[in-house]
Amino acid sequence: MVSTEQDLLSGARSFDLDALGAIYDRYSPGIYRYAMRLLGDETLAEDCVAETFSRFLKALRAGQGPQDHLQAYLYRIAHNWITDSYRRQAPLPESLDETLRASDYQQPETQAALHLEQQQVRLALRALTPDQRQVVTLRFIEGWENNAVAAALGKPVGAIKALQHRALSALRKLLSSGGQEQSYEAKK
Amino acid sequence: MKRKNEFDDILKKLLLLRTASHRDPEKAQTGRDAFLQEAQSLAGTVTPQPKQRHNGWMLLLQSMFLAHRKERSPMLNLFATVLVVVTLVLGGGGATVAAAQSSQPDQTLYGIKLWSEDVRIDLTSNPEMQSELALEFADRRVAEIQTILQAGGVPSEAVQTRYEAQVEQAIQFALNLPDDQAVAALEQVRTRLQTQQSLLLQFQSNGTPEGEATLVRARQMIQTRIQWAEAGMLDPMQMRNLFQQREQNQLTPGNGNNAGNNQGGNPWVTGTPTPGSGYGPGDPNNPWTTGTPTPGSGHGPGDPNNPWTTGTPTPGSSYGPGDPNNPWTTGTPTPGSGYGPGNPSLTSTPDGGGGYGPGPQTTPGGNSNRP
Repeated sequence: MVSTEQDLLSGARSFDLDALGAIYDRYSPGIYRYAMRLLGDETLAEDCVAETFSRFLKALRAGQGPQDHLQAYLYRIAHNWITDSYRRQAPLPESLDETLRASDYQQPETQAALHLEQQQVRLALRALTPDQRQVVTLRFIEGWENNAVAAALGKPVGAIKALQHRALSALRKLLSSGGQEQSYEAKK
Repeated sequence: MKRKNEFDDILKKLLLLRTASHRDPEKAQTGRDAFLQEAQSLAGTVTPQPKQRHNGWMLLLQSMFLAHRKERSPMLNLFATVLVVVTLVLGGGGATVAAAQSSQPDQTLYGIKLWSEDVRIDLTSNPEMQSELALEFADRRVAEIQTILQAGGVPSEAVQTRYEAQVEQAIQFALNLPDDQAVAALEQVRTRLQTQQSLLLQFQSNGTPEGEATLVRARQMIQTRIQWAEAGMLDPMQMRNLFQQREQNQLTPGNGNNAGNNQGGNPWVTGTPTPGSGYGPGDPNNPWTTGTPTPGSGHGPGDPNNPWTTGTPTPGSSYGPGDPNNPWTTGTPTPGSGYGPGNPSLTSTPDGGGGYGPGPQTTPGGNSNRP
């Protein structure tokens, strides 16, 4: 039986473990993927998932938490955690010219090249403002519709479109400059 | 489409991050178990329903006055709620009272204006300040009466009564001071009342009898109260006694003061009159009580052509010489019975004191000065 989001939320507010388990099963893979794409680190991504759901529980305990748009709510918690994570490890960005060492199971050169390109994009994303970064990630990497992105950021759709445009323009500059930019959090 | 082409290369690079990321199932299961364990531990202490009940009013206020936020800060919520409530209770109420100060008797906020006046006087303990406030509020009544008359209306009985009451209050508060200060305060009262009097004399009524009557009443009242203030300046103690006596009479049930025609206990018709206070035995040169009557003035021998006293009477018309057998006009009257031929002087030219003249000595100077 497929529960609706409202059913799950209702169960979650009364700390029904079945409902909470269902929420975890439904949304944790996406949160992990999202964190992995931005952080590129399995351990950090797992930490992000754990912290996201822990904060969700604490909000429920305080009688708060979302009334609707549960997925958007969880992604916003995850996004905030990632932004904090950038801030914690911000000072020295990796140089994109540096030859990255592939992990043991990614020996082929193509994998190394992909990894390098991915790191370039991640570094460029880190140089965006948090809102720009979240819009670009949700819209173009996760493939969300503008309405869903607007719900996640709590902004009107028009503002989301404007953020997209500015973010893409900034990314083009960043990626064409060789990625020597510091992250947005490091510059603050 | 232009934008897509414009950013095509960027979008392709972003898609590099879309590669499938394999999550270790064991770690995923560990994470799920940890999450449910934490939920279980929190479930034992959680009381969501009572919490929501206590915070319900806050959430309601926030939903009314604050923008909706998905993530709420508990401290911000509390401060915002308290701020809203305090602003509404103090700021809002103060603004309403301030706005009411310029209201007119026919407006909704006028009641608040009167209430605020009473409160201000009640909250003031210094009689001098109280007297000053009462005068200030009486000034407002004068201005209101003027506004209403200018607008073609007639001031209500309530406005006029309040005006009289506030003028009296000013005098009474002044009398609550020690004698020397009372005299100074009463002098101030008199000056202010004289100003009000000159204003009232300048007012033009709206032409209606009611408007004219209002003005006459206000002018007479202010004239009388000026006399009270002057009497108080001459002898504050006696004026205090008079007020005290008046209050006692008002408090006695059935004393008839409400009817306005009972002079029992009226300080203006009993007791020793203060010289110059306007009450006393009256003017001995009153033209209505002495001297030769003016022809046509309504008193005197009357018209010789009066059809009721001359000419042939119509039978059954009740006038004429009357019945010769009338026992009230014929026969020997019994001494002290009160009937008989009557006093011949009543048919002659009246002279001073011949049946009209000064009223009873208990009402010297008329009763228009009754407080």
